[in-house]
Amino acid sequence: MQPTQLAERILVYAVDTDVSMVLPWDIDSVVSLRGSFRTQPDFAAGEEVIQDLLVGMLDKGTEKQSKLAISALLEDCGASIQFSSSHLGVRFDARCLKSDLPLVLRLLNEQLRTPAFSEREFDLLKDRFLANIQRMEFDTGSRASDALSRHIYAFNHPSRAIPLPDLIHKIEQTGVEDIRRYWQSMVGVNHFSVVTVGDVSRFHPREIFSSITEGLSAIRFSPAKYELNPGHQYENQEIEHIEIADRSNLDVLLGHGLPLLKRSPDFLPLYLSVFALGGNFSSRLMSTIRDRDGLTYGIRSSLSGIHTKYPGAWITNVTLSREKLDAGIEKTKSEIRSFIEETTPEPLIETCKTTLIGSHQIQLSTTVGLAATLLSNQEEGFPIERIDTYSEEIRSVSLNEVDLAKEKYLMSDQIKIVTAGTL
Amino acid sequence: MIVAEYPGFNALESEGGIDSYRLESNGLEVLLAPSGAAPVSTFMITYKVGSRDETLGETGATHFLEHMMFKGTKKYSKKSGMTIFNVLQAKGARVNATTWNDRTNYYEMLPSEHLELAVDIEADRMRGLLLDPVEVNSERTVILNEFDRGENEPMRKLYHSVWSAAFVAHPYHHPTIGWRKDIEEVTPEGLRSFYDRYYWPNNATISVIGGFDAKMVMAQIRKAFGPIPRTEIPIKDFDGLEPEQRGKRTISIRMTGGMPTILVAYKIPEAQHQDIPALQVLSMILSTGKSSRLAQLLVDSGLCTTQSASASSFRDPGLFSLVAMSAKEESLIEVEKIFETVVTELKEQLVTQEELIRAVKKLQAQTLYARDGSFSLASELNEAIAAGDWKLYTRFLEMAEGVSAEQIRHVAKTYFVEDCMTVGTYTPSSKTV
Repeated sequence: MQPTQLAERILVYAVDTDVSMVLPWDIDSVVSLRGSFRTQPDFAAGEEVIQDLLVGMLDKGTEKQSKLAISALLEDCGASIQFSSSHLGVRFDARCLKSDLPLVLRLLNEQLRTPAFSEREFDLLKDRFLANIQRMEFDTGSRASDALSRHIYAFNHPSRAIPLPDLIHKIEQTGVEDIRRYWQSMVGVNHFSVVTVGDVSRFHPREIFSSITEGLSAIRFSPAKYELNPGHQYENQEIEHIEIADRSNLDVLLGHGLPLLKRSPDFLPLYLSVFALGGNFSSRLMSTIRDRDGLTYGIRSSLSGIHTKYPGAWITNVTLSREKLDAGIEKTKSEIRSFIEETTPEPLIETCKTTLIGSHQIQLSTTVGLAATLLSNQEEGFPIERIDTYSEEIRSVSLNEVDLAKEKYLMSDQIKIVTAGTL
Repeated sequence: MIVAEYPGFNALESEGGIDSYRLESNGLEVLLAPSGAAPVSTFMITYKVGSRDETLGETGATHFLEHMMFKGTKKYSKKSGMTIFNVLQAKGARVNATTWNDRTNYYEMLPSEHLELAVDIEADRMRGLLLDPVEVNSERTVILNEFDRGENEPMRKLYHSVWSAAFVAHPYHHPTIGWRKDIEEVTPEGLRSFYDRYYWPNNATISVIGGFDAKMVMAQIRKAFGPIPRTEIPIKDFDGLEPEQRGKRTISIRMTGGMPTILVAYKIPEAQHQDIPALQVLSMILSTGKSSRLAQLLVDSGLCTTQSASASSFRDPGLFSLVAMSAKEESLIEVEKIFETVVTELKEQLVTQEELIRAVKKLQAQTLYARDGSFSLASELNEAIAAGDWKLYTRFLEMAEGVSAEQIRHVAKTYFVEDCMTVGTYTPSSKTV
């Protein structure tokens, strides 16, 4: 068994805002690595599309090696490297056996430092992006979510979805030189974080950091500001409907913006409150709208997209068959209204706390879960010790704080409703 | 060889770090797999009942019953103030259940100190299910909504249609969720009858995986499950039921949205057949990774956006599937021709040693990755139990390592024949959004 205090076992190498952590874990051969660095797309100009395309190009070969040569090297040892875009950053994650970690680190560095930017690969990538949009056009969940985001977030906000026709236009207009320029200005050592967990006792965090970042320049940005749209009194106003043929199940989203950042003292109390409303099978909405009324297969309510740098939203998502649509929406609104008006029962919040504490413990039972938790704590500016103290933070939230946060942030009359599917 | 013994259990076998036991009183099988470094465990019970066991008119019963198992018993229900989700999730457990062709499984991934609660709940609902008619009616609309969600997805429709066309008599013909009319008409009595046929200890396997105290959990299992009697389980032997396929079958699906897709499927044998490891290694050579044959021929060429190849691993014969999605409907004809060329090459030429070694290396790494935490191993074991023997999991890597290029050519020649082929295409219709 591992000792209770994980932070004590983590080896750390930190310089300025960059960090590398190594957590040796009792598992045979397996290594999970996660990392990220900060970027700053101009969201109002649709630059996140450029970032998404850049991320798609990072595994398409380097100046030295083709995409296939790199794939063969990784596949020959059962290893993988993946890149992803996360609004204000680019993430990478890798999985391999310990003997192959040096190879993975070398390839990661090569992919970040000297991507090939082949015209042919770029054209193929654009085709795949356009095909994905073709699929999304008929996806009820994506369409409802995108539409709601445009009600909630201002043009410069990372979570505001670009309308699909604009997205298609932006992709078609982007050339490989645009991607290269973006790479030159954004890919570098800037809040660069690497977390390595598993059978890694012979590796030092400094070596890992140097191997990945060798040859990358230091980059810094001026702070940017990200905003919500002003709140509106949406109650009794028209529901926005997106008609999609042949979709007898409709996705319904209800939500509004939240002027709240992740490090706010109100965040955890509000998180607990919304979890009690719609966080899992035991929550208020699942036990009423699904379990009691049999109206839906799934209903969830959650805080969405709240970051340390930008505010997010409170969103409830319910899936309804056409014949249950009106009843389902009315019951959901009514249940949310009652939840907001009533004082939260203390046993309910205590149960939510034990649920979240247990979930945290489960999250920390795999090398992937440990690496993901340590990385997100680091990205959000929390101390490493938070991996051990998070449970106590949850435990110490009072009922009064939960109710005050609910009263301050959840507004039933400001909820905008979007539906997508066939009426 | 099993070192540990526990009162009330017969020790059976030990393989790949997994020990198996049988509860003397009723035949319940228990697998113990100490794994991982954290004090977290997965407790899973797999019932050997799936949509394979349903007859016409009761399709979807297994899945419906899986939903009802959360509605509870006298001890754990809304009336008692302790629903199964509430009590387990209050301990931080990840709780859920799934149903498929050959099995239904219920699992709790939770801090090991709460394992006894999972044991108690699973034992209680093995024979104590209430099946209240009011709850059945309420859950029916939930399941119909789940059905409608599935109907929104073109790929799922295509998959079901191909299986339905490939199997005309075997119950793999119908989707696990069932036909809509059967879901609409299911009765509490029908569900009770199904429950009474299959939910018994001698038709179930418990798997406990993770960081737990084996002596303690075995005592808890004996105490909770020991008093439940065994019964005769109906044996469904479908050998010889499915008529021999004598010719290529084709189906096409149209609805709005989605991407043009082709699914080419060949009949293959059951999971325990000696040819399955070669078919699974072959699926990796064809489609896993950017260097795989189909990735290069279809995706790298720009003809398709995604591709996959997979061999089913069910209790009864299933399908080897080749799938590709393209942005253009007219490309599907070309994709089918490429599939034909690939299959012909496999029959005529040996795969390279490089391809074989790469596939095996991937499998070796995947086997080690499966030991990271408790849930991935539970998932692998679940499918092996469903297919008829948990050791299909522990022996798979060794069998895959022994697959030769000649064996791969042999399985390609044996199974990739036009008379046992079903081809399904999905093309978006022209209705506007």
